[in-house]
Amino acid sequence: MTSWGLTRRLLLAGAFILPLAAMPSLAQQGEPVLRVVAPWEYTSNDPADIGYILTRLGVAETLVQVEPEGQLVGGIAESWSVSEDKLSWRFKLRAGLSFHDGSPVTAQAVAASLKQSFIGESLSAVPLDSVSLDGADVVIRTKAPFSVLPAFLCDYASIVLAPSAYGADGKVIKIVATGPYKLAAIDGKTTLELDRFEGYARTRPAIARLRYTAVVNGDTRANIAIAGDADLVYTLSPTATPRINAAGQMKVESLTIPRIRALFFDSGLPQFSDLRVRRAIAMAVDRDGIAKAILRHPDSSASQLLPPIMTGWHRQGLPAIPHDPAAARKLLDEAGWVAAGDGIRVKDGVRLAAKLLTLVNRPELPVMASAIQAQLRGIGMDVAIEVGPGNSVPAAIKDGTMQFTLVSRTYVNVPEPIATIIPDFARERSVWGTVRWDGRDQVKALTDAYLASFDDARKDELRGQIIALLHDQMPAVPVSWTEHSVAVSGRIKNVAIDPYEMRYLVERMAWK
Amino acid sequence: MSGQALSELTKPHSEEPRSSVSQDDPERAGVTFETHSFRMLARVRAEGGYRLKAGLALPLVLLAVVAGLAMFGPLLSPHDPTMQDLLHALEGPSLAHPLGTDHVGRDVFARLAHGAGRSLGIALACVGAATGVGLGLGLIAAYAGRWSDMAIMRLADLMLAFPGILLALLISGFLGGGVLPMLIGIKLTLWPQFARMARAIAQGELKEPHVEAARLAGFPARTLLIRHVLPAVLRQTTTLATLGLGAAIMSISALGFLGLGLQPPTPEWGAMIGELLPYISEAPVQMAAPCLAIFISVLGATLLGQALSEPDSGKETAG
Amino acid sequence: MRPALALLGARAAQAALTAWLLATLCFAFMHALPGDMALRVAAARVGDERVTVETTERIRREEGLDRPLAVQYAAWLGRVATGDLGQSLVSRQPVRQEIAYHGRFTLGLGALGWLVSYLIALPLGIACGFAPGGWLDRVTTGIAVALASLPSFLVGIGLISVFALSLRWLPPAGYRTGAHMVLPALTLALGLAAFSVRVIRNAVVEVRGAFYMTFARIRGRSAASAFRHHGVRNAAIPVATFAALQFAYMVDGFVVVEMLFNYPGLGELLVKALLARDVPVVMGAGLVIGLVYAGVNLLADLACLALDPRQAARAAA
Repeated sequence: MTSWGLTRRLLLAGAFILPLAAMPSLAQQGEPVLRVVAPWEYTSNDPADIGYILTRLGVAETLVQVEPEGQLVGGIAESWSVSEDKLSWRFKLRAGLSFHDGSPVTAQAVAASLKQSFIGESLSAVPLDSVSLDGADVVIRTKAPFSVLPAFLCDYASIVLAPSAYGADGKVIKIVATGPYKLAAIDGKTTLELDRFEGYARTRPAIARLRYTAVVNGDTRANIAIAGDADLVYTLSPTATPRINAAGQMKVESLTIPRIRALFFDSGLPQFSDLRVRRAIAMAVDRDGIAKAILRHPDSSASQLLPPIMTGWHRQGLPAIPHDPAAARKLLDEAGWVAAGDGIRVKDGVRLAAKLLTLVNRPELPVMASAIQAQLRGIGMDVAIEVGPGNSVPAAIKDGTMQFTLVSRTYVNVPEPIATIIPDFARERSVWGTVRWDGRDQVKALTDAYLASFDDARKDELRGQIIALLHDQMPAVPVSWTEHSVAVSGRIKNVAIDPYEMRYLVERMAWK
Repeated sequence: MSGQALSELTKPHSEEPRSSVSQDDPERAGVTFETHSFRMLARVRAEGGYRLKAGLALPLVLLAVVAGLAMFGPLLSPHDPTMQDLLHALEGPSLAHPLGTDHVGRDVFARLAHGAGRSLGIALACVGAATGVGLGLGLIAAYAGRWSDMAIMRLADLMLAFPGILLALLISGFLGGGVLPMLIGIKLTLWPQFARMARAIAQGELKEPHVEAARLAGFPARTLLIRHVLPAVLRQTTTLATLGLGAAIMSISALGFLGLGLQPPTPEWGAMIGELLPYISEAPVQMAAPCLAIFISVLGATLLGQALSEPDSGKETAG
Repeated sequence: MRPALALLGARAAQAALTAWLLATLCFAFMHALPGDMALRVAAARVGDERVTVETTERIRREEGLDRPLAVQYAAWLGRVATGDLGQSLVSRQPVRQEIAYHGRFTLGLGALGWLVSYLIALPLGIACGFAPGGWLDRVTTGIAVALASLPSFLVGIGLISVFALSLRWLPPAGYRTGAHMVLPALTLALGLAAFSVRVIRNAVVEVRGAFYMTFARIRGRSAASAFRHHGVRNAAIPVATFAALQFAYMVDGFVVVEMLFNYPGLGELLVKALLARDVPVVMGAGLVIGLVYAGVNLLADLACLALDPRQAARAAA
């Protein structure tokens, strides 16, 4: 029986040692690689789908770029000018640029690439007439004066790719672009390996290699930041910030960006057609409470569409929207909505009730929606919450079932909010914004004037009028602006956050 | 046939198992080659079984705790499980909130208690529906034989070839969450085992002399099945149903955790865990409560199923 | 060999039928759903916030989503018959390529999890089997029951909290290095080991009590020596069958584990394709999972026949 005891002990020891031996050896850090984590998967090669990943990582560039401070600067173009009739734009290209395959960036290549971009829908707002060559310059003609064309050319759908990037059918088959980094390898939808492009003429990036990893789930991204398994983690939930900072592996930096969380209405419904109801809702919503308790950032409370960082579009003079449920109730009384037995107001047989559609892909939204539900209940309005996937809002607007929504909406798809204000507020049925709002024609008149105006003072005046109109008529009730939070490791310096979410600016960063 | 090898492995204490098992043995035919985790559970626990000395007492106490929570919890707590209080979010346990508050200031105890009713209720409904459908089809297959037997059993085989949670996931994903899709999905994964077991037991039962005699005496099929066969089938499927309860609770919570189960703000354990996960370090108690609730319910159901499967439960088996 | 062939034929037919049914169900569900499919696909391609009416209509036209359902279904079946699973509506990559890419990861994780579970369960189970009712047996049983009562997401959360967030020994998510694989594999392995440790223990107990073991002991061999010479092979039969069977359990496990650890396997592919209404991918994945599932069943059956010739003899009779 002696051998039995020995065997048993051995077996027992094996149970604990073997799994450890089976673990593959931990990864060794060799040459420094900048590890970037963000939510977006590289799903296809089409610039209209994933161009933003390419511009953010510095793989691809557009003719015009925007600096984090807001001014438009040359990208592939060195400078540009507009003709006397304001219809013809001439872009002078930078000299000595080359594509990642070594071929020179010529006017022909740029024009051909731009023509492909304009086939898609992303740039359909531009009243394009033609793209042509004039010597070494690219000339874009519009059918009507379009003062914001350079801003539109920052759109990632208009990234410039080499002729070798396109297949016979004009579709992009591989990414051959001009940026400071080039794609070295694509692994599935989640990982991109990038190398410094040695032929980049404008600067020489200090960081030679980077790896982009897409992690869709926000909690998982937060966990990665807590464990310190990355150098840059983008788009973090505000609630994760204290935990990440406490863990000490990475530090969170935040910036308020022009992305608003707001309630959008179908103003054609009897519940919302009266301006007084929309104003009452605006006053019933406890912005500060939501900003403090849910978003954990008191400054994010929003009383107008765009945050102070958008200097031209944030209007200092506008009155704040007070949190005043009593005044809200009074306003509803005036408007003829009378509380029935169950506490919910009724007018002409219509209950003051509606379905609030919000989205699951931004985890704070359902929480905010239920806070708003409780707050509106306090003024006699019955709200049912529906939480849908990201595309449920366009779907609901399209099939006419949208009543009101709580969504997170960026106004800098291009660095000119007008590009998003027009589709959201100037149409009878927008894709993401308002539905059947009677002020849409007023907005359209103002935005048309804005697009046609080349006078800065006049444009500023129009900006003021547009924002004031939206603030006065409440087609949308602003709730909070968004904090863009990035976790940064201790290994790097010179990290800048771009409020336009256009670029990560890795080429300006360096190892410590 | 592989089913045989499995029934052998789950009958570890018989003297010469490989030669003694007959394919028609009703006690074992219910255990055939199956690939679902629940089926593994059923087999390993019920027959090869974990034999704790607890017998019936421990599982009944555990289940009584959860049932008590479901029945009396909502009465004990004055709070509305969906009522938010943002000013008191993520507060630790106190007299007003015995288990603290969650990230939007809802009372965790109230949510746990209301969630208990829902989790148990849906799990019971799933198992009940699966038992009903499974027993019905199994009995029909056993009695009618021939092509209907063939059709029903092939259908059961097909359903067994569906990966368990995947089916529930597909249906919930398609129908957009909620009670009904979840019920359908989980029921669909559970019924084939009941059908198989019922058919096997019924086949054996129908060959019994007294049943044979009743048939010859001209009693109608309905009477035969309900009076003579069903009681035997029910006796034997109780264990399977109890274990199914545990599996259903786990599936419901997994779907809730993935965000494909009951939709917020409905209190549900899996969803509560998913919602509180980002606050795990700030709200350990609030997070632990639903975890423990799931654990206790599943453990209770598992141990109960095991105890029921042993007529001599509580007695230490030689082995 | 005849029973093996008959079994093979029957199983293959069943596998094909199952896979076809699964894929057809996927198709039916997808289209039965309310909501505009083209819009969902468009949103998955260009991002939710950049969806326009024009993009949606172009995709509907280009992908033939405006054709009658029967035509779309027939077109898919016709392509599958020639071995072509079509293209993903979102990535526009061949579905076969997508499934091969993600399937590789799932297979790797599954194999690793399975291996680790046996590295834990085999020594423990045998040790318990040698002293049934002893302290080790009781402790192991307790832990195994507890583990079996925990959904895999709770086990995963527990492991992440301890090893990734508190101790920081291991990364919390990803797939790049061996270190990334440890926690997902361990999550799967613990769930598997909870069952297999018991099966192994019972098999050992049974074999040790068998007649030939008593005989060997009478002949003067020690318990351990008798087990080595006579017991191992006999105990291996049920354990091997069970081990094959467990591979299928992981189909359940990997959906949750992959989502939890951001691991690019088939489960993750399927959930994302479901959300994006990427019908060809969902149908293709359904087809493949059905076939693999049936294939594992078949392998287990064949292994049974090979391990125990008496069964083959009986089946032939």
